[in-house]
Amino acid sequence: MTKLRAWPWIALAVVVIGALFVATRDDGGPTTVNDRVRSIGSELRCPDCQSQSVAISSTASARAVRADIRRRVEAGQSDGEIKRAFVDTYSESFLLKPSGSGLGWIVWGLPVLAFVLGAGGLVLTLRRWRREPRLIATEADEALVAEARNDR
Amino acid sequence: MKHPLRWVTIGVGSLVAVFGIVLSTQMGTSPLFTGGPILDRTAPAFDLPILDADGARVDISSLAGKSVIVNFWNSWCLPCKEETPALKAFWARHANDPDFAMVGIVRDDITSEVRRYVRKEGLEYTIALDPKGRAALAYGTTGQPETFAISPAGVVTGKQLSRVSVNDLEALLGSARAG
Repeated sequence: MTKLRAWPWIALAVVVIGALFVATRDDGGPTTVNDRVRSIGSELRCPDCQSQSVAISSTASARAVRADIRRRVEAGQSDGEIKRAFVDTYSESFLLKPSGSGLGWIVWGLPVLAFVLGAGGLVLTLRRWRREPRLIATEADEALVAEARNDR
Repeated sequence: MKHPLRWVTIGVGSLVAVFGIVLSTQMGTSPLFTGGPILDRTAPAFDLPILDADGARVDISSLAGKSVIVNFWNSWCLPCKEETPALKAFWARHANDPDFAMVGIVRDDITSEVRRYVRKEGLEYTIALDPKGRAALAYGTTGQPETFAISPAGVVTGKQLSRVSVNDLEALLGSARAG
């Protein structure tokens, strides 16, 4: 019986791990210069339209950034080097995706921590509910209910 | 632990509170609005064509040894128009200072419109064109107007986003001369 109860949890774990694997696996990344420019640009904030990425913005600044990315890609710089160059000029806030260092850890870490605490709380509560005996009406309780009904 | 759910709730609540406090302390302190990484660094190089100067160019190395004010602007930006009187008054005050240079770098504009505006306003300091936006990018500009002060040693000593007054420009020049 215990083994049967465990199966849904095992199935759930398999689904979650499988989904995480599919979502995070490396698909080889962009291969052409255009793809790399688009890929890097999608992670950088347009300088004068802060809610858009460099990849999709049509402002002069975004065009200048795209041209600079292209120059750097053609010069053989890695994606990391190119992003660091822009962070060096504009600061960390130029990255649309916060890094895991500095205050960036809060953005990534707090939701995970909140999820773990929430899941922990749920597990503890469910276990407590299972431990607590179910209430069974005693003869005195039934007599009390019968008395109340008769009074109506 | 008598009431685990209560402790979990307190824990999650505390995390949310910490997150909110940290975020509130960060508001308005984005480096984009408070100077950014360029301050105290060597001024990025530029080599740009000067407006209507028969191919003459302005090069950062030609300004070495001078206190330089660099103003990024264009003719369609309202704050740029609003600061024009201050720039003209400041230039009139310092045009003959041997240790001083001022360059207006035009970003994101049409040359004919720039020419028309410069003539109309009678701007006499160097106006350079940055058609591909490379200089604007190198200085980490996020729009216009943006004004930078560069010391005689070639270090960026000051930066102001938004329009400048004569007093702002004097403060920027002071930082360049002190740097």
